[in-house]
Amino acid sequence: MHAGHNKMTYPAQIQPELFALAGVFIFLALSLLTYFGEVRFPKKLPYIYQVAASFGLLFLVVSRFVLPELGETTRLWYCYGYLIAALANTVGANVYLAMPKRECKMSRKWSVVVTFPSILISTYFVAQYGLTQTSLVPSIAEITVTASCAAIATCAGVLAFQRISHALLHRVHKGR
Amino acid sequence: MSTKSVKFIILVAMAVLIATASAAVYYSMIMQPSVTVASATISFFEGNDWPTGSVMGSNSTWVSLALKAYPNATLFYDQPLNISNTDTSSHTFRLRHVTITPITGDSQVGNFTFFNFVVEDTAGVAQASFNYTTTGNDWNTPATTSYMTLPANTQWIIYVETKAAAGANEVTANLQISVDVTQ
Repeated sequence: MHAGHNKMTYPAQIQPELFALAGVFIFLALSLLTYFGEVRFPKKLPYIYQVAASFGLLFLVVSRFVLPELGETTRLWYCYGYLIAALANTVGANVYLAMPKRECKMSRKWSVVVTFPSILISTYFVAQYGLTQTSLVPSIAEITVTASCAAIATCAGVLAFQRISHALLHRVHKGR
Repeated sequence: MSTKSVKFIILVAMAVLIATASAAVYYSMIMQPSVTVASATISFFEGNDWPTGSVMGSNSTWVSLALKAYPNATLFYDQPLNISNTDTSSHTFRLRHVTITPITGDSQVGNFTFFNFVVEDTAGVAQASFNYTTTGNDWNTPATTSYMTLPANTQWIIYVETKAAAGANEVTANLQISVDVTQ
C-alpha cells in the first residue's frame, strides 16, 4: 500500500500586503477625487496623496524584494497601519468637508460614495485575512470580526447622524 | 492644452503607474511558489496483528503486507495495519486499486476467492470495504472508495480477510493499492 498525498487546489492565500495594496488604491482615489474638488480642498492635497500612495508601493517592494524574510506578523502590522492611515484620510476629508467648510451635502455624498464603501471593503479584506490566519495569530480572527462589526456600526452611525442633523437643520431653516 | 489638463494627465498617469506597479508586486507575491519538505500527515503503523514478513517503508508512507490465504477457509487479520493522522486537523483519504498480478484472464487467478480490505474507525465501524473477488480466471477489482475523513490525531484500522479456492495451488498474488490523501 502506498499513501499518496494529493494537494487540492485552493485559491491563493491572502497576504498581509493586500492591506497595503488596498491603501494604495484608496490614496490614489483620494488623489483624483480631491483634484476634481480642488475648490473645496487645498491645491497640493492630490499630490500629497500621490506621494502617500508611492509609500504604499514602497512597502510592497520592501516586503517582496528587500526584506522577504520579515515575519508575517511584522508585515501584517505595517500594512494594516498603512491601510488605517488611508482610511483615516478618507474620514479626515469627510470631516474637512463637513466642519470648516460647512458643506454638509457634499460631506454626506462623500461619506456615501467614498468613506462607507472604502471602510466596508477594507473591513471585508481584514475579516477574510483574520479568518484564514487563525494559526498565525490566534486572537486576530476575534479581533477582526469585532472590528468589522464596530466599523459597520460606526459607518451606519455616521450616516444616521448626518441624516438626522440634516433633517433638523432643514426644520430650523423652515421655521425661520 | 491648458496647464490644468496637463496637470490632470500627469496625475492620472502617475496614479495608473503606481496602481499597476503595486498590483504587479502583490501578484508576484501570491504567485510565488514555495515547497517545504514536511513529514506526511497520514502514515501507516504496524498493527497488533502485523503479518510476519511484512515490510514497513521508510517514513511510513508505504507498506508491503505479506498475507496468506487458506484454501476453502477464510483467514482474518484483525489488525494487520493502522492508518494514522498525526496532524492537528482532519484529512480525507480513499483506497484506489493500482495493479494486480497474475493479471486477469490468467489461469492462476482461479486459485483465489477474495481479499477484502476493510477500513474501521476507532469505534469499530466499517468505513469502507475494498474487496477483490474472482469470477473464474478474472479479477473483479473494487471501485475506488469514497473519501473518508480521518479526524486529527486519530488512528484507524485496516483489517483484511482472505480466502483461496478449494484445492488451490500455491501461487502468489501481488496487488498494489494506493491510499490517496487530500491535504
